[in-house]
Order: sequence, then structure tokens, then C-alpha cells
Amino acid sequence: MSSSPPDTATPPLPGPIKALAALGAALVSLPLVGLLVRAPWSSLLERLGDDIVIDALRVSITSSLAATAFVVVLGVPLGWTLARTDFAGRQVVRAVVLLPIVLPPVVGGAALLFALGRSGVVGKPLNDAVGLVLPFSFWGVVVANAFVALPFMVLTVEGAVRALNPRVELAAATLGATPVTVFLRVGLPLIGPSIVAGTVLAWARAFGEFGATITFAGNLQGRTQTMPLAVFVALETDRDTAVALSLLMVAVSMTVLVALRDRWWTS
Amino acid sequence: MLLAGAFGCWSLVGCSDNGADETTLTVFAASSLADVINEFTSEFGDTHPDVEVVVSLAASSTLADQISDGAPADVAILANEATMDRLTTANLAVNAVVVASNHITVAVAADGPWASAQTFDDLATGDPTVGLCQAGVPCGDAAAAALAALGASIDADTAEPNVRALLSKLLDGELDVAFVYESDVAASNGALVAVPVLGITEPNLYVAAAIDRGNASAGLATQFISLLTSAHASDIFAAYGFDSP
Repeated sequence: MSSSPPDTATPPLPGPIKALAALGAALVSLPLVGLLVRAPWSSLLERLGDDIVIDALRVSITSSLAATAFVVVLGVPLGWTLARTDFAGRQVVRAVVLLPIVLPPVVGGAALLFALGRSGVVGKPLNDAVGLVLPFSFWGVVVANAFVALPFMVLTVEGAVRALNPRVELAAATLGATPVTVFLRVGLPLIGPSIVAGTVLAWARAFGEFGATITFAGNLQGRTQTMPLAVFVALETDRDTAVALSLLMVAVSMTVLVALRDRWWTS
Repeated sequence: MLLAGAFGCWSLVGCSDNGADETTLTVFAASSLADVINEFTSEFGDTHPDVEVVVSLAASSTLADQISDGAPADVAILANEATMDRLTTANLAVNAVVVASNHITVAVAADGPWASAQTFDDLATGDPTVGLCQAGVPCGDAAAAALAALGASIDADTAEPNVRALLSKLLDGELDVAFVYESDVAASNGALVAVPVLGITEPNLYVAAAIDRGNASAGLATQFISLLTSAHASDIFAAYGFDSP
């Protein structure tokens, strides 16, 4: 999608900039080295075959994908609306929607509990009416994941739509396309790459989510215990397994990010 | 309640290192001591006005891991002997002494349908949401040991990281049944009752020790532990539902 960089020489980078860049890279990669050095290589495969690890991987993958689906379905329209419509309180809505990015996840989890818990303001009527109880359930994990991941999609889509030239869509409308057709056939394809990028960011955030999950959905192997929760438990009971789980998370995340980088966001 | 752990610094003496000539005494205390510890820190503050006492609350196992990894604790008060043994064996904790005891119990809401339960069958009726502490944390290990001693098992819905996280979910009404401590029931002002399904359980012994990291606060740590072992301390512990060791 993006054009290849122009074939012109760039000015030489000052030495101090390169040094700071190297420090920045070291800050992120050093902990990774720590994991690799600490890894129980001889028993790694055996540990990764443990029930706890397999259950956690399954819960993590299914819940993060389900949350990502919600984020796509809700986040794209939300980002679009924020970019294109002007209504009273739009800035307030925008700030609230982006709040989970800065809010500590454990606070988000507690807030979810107060709202959607069994005795929460929305959760209680929901429980009375249809018997839906989110805390300590798989769907509680999905809700917690979607809560923290949604803003990443909203931000990405909003930025892309703002950069869109509305004349293209207006031209389609002039030619007789209905608003729905313009949105689906013209608008969405134009920001397709941004939606993909937003999806990857949202999934990555959901996959690594910890605080909101343990606070809202609890911690039960096979139902709500995701990989980060399993790491947290294993750190206190079996550190080698914790390191093995961490390596598995690094491997899954790196694979996804590297695979998608080549296809969608090569710069 | 739920946020108490996250915001713990605020409710206590403070976390910042203000006052250049103030000495700081850092106390790592088991989650279940969250309420009673304030009595001791304020009393210690009365007799040591130039000392700032900072409390860090977490599961005992978490605290022991942090201390092993070099956390700047001066005193540790942990909720079972096994966890403290890890620190004494590593020569990190010295002069360990038992200061109080507690028992794991099964707590339910006093006004809920399980308040009159007498047996595990009663407790299982109506599909309650059940919580306990995760394995490795003293309250989780105590619950597992009590169930094993009875040959009983229970389908839990969550394994929480520490007893306060578990307790707050029970008090919030998100859980129906939780394996917490008798002191938690005693401190609930009648909101919770203990159902007698576990019988007589093995006590959890709270062990206090000075953490030896070659620091200047060692003398203060000893004085703080003396306060915990005084005759007066057992009255304070008793007022919060703990037993004498």
C-alpha cells in the first residue's frame, strides 16, 4: 500500500542520536535477554506441554480473538463517528473512550465489576432479566480484553478517516450510491490498512491484558486463566514454568507482529 | 475495598521519601493484616515520631519473593511459617517469632441463602459462586489443606492472588462463598458469617522477622517486632479476630 521510500540520500545521523537509539533498543531488548538466559531450556518442551500452559494458551487465544472481533465491530463505527460528526460533548465522549489507554487496568477491572458485576448497576438487571453473569466467566475475560483494547482501534480509525478526502465519497454519493454503499464500498476500503493496523494493535493489547482480567473475571484454570494470569501464578509457585510461559507469549506475539509487519505496515 | 491494595500507600503513613532527616521503617505485611497493622504502625509512630513507617501489603508468598529479589523491607510479617522459612533458610530473615494465629474458614454473606449451611451439601445447593486464594499463597494453601484433611473438594470459580482481593469480592456480593480467615469474618461487622463445614483447622501462624540487608534500620526493626510480641499486642490482635500464638 505505501510507496517505496524516495531514492534520495539522507543526511548523516549525529552520533549522539545513534547512541540514544541504541540505548532505547537495549532498554526493550535486555529483559528479553534476561528471559532467554533464565529459561529452563532442558525441560522447556515438557513444561510447555503442561495442562496449565495449554489451558492458558487456549483461553488467551480464544478470548483475545473474540475481544478483537468486538473491537472491530464497535471500534470502527465509533472512530468513524468521532472523526466525521460534530455533536455536543464529542470531546467528552472521545476522552472517555480513550481513557482505558491511560487508566491502570486494575482500575478498569474494578470499574467493570461495579458496572457489570452481579450486583453492579447494569449487571444486576442483566442478571435478573436474562441470568447473564459476567464476572468469573469466559465472557468476562472477553469484556475486560475488549475494554482495554477498543481505544487502539478507535484512535487508528479516527486518524485515518480524518486524513480521508471526503470528496471521493461525495463523488460516489453523487453517482447514486446510498450512504451504506458509500461507507462499505468506498470508505472502508480506503482506510483498510488502518483497520488492519488497529486490529493488530487491539489484539496485541488484549493478548497481554492482565489487571482488568484478574480483577473482573477472576482466575480459574481453563476458564478465565489467560497466559498473563498463569505467569503471575507461576511466578509464586514455579518460576521455571513462569519463564516458559513468558517465552511462549513472546514467541506468539513476535510471530504475529513480524508476520503482519511484512504484509501491512512496511514503511 | 477493592482498590485498597492498589492505593495502599495513601491510607498509610505515606510512600514518598520526604523529610530528609526522617528514618524510614519498611514493613512488609501479609494481606490479612491489612486492618490490624495500622494499629501497630500508629502506636509505633507515637513512640518514634522521627520514624516514618511504610507498609507494603501483599500475599505473603509475593512478599517473600520480593524480599528474595532484594526489596527494601526492614520487617516482614507473613501468614505462615513455611513462607518465612524460605527467608530464614536464605539468611534474609533473622529472629523470626510467632506473633499471632488465624484459622481458615468458609465465609458467606450473613443475610444470604448460605448463612445457615452446615455441610458441604448445603453449600453446594443453588450453585453458589465460590472463591479461594491461589495455590502458593498462605490462604490458598490453608484452604487446600483443610479440604484435603476432610477428603472434600470444591468447584471454585476463581483463585484470587491474595486474601484481600478474595474478601472484597465476597463483600461486594460477586462471590457467594469464600475461603478466608476467621479474622476477616470477625472484622466484617456482621456482614459475613463463618459456616462450620471445615471443623477444627490447623492454625496459620503469623511470623514476624527482621530482614537483614545490612541496613541502619535493624535496631528499629527489632523494636517494631518487640511491639508485636508485647502483651498489649495480643489484645490488639484479639480485637481484630486473631488468636494468640
